[in-house]
Amino acid sequence: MTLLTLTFKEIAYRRTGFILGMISVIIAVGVLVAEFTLLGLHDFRSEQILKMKEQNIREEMRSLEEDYRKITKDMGFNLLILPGNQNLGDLYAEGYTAKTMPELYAEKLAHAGIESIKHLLPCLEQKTRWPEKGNRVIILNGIRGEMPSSESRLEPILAPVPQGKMALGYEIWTSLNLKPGDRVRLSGEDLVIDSCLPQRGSQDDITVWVNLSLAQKMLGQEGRISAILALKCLCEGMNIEKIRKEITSVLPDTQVVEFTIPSLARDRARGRAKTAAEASLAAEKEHQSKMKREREKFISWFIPIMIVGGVVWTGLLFFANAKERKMEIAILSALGLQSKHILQVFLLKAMIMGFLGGLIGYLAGFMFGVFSMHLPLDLNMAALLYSPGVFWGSVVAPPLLCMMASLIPALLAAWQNPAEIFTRE
Amino acid sequence: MKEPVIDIRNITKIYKGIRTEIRAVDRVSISLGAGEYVAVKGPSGCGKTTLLLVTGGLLQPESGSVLISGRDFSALSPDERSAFRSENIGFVFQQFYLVPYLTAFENILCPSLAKPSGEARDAAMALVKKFHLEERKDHVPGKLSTGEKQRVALARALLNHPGILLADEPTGNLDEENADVVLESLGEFARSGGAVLLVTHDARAANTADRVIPMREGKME
Repeated sequence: MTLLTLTFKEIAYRRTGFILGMISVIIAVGVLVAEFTLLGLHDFRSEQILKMKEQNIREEMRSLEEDYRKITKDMGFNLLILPGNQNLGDLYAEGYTAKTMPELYAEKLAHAGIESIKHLLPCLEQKTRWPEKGNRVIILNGIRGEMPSSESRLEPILAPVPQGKMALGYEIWTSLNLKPGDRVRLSGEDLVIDSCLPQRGSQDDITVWVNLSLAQKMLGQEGRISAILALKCLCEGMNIEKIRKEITSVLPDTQVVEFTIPSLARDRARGRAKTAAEASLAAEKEHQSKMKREREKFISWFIPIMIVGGVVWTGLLFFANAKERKMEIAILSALGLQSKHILQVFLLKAMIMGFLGGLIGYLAGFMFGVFSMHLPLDLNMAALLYSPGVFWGSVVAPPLLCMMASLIPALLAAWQNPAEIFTRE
Repeated sequence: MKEPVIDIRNITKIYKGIRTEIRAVDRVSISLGAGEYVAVKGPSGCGKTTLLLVTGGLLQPESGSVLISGRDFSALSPDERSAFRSENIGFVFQQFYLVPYLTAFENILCPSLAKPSGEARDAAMALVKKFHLEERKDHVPGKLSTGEKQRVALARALLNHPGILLADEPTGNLDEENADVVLESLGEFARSGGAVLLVTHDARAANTADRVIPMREGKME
């Protein structure tokens, strides 16, 4: 017979105490493993949710691009035809074209037979001052309306400013307290305000629109224009390079720039959508992280409590067991068992209790964690959630802790004087 | 003259209470040689059980010494005394003191826990046959009669072939027939060369010994 046999026999004989101890280990380990499993499932779920969200965002962005492509396909390109010697950097810096080209270019282009060009608007635009209004800086824009095109049967896109009339940008009419119908003088010319435009948040707000011929006269640029707007240009495959080539073949000393509003709007829309999507994704990540942090916080204080509680409860059970076995220990001592043998008897029992409790607790906690998320349990899921650290922790730590809990009762039993027990009996 | 197997020299054992002191054994000396069967007879409370426990190394005397086969038993540490006891001394108690969840056979095997041996099972089986326990060897003490329990206790005491048997009122709970079996076994042990120290209040049991030493109030008379 061995001490192990003796231990198993004693466990079977006093199984109530052993089962109570094992249950406390099962509960402690089970709850911890369930929490760790749920954390693992949480991470798995979070990853799935985030992947799905990212996938949705990608699809939405693709859809947005596709929609925008369709929209801008209907809108077509907006082009700015500029003098060839106009420095684009200056144009972007100043906000208007300083160079000019013959007004005839507009007519030439209108009758060139280019199918993709629908609406042509020549204009003369320059930064100048309004002497009669405190010499304030304005952008004087002379327009004559749409060029009648041999190809276009569409409605004109922009009407000219009638002779003797002017249109004012928002900042001008609000700061000068002007309104439609008011008579004003601009560089010696008497004009009636035809319209006051709403705020646009651009240089249009400091622009004064007059008839093209009047602007040419005021600026000393008769027969000259600074740009031709070509609006809603459409072509097969939306190939701007094709249109560019067509225009420059008719007007070789010009340059063609895509009018940035649609592309900017597209980029801005895309940017806004992307920002919103990223914000949504970040919010979801933060939410998942927050949930995970809360779980981890719970585990961080729960673990010590469970360990201490488990050790104390196990210790009490072993104290009771040692008291119950006083006579038995005295007999074994009388028969020649030394204190180390008595110690082994108790520690072996504690080890078995801890190991079995830990193993059962691990299985129970793992199953609970999985089933509580209503997930089908298959080998792949089990493999995904299995953590070697948690498993080995569950079967190694409890036996050690139970042995620790049983140490004092075991030592007291080992050191007891058998004669005192016999004489008391 | 042969060296005594048990040499108790001037042993005094005092039980100290909160306000009282009891001299359970007062300057007692006894010697036993191999093959000697000595009975210490006295009424309950005279200190004979204490004397036995001191002899077996389960109690430490206040003064005096116990030499077992020439070795000062009382000078050893508790674990050394346990180890020595497992090889040299067998105990038989009035209450049997069997482990309740082990079978009769396993109870007999208990001393082998301290000194594992490949021959223990064979030796235990031989003792089962000697004490006619074949039919009962797989029963737990709760299912055994008093006589069977004491025979199991006796067999357990003999498993490691000790040179000394210490018996404390071994027939106290037995009927005449079973008592005779136990006393005959003690005599047989002595005849085969072992030393037996029996403590009892029963004159009939004491008279089976080679020598009877009366004891009263902790002293030898």
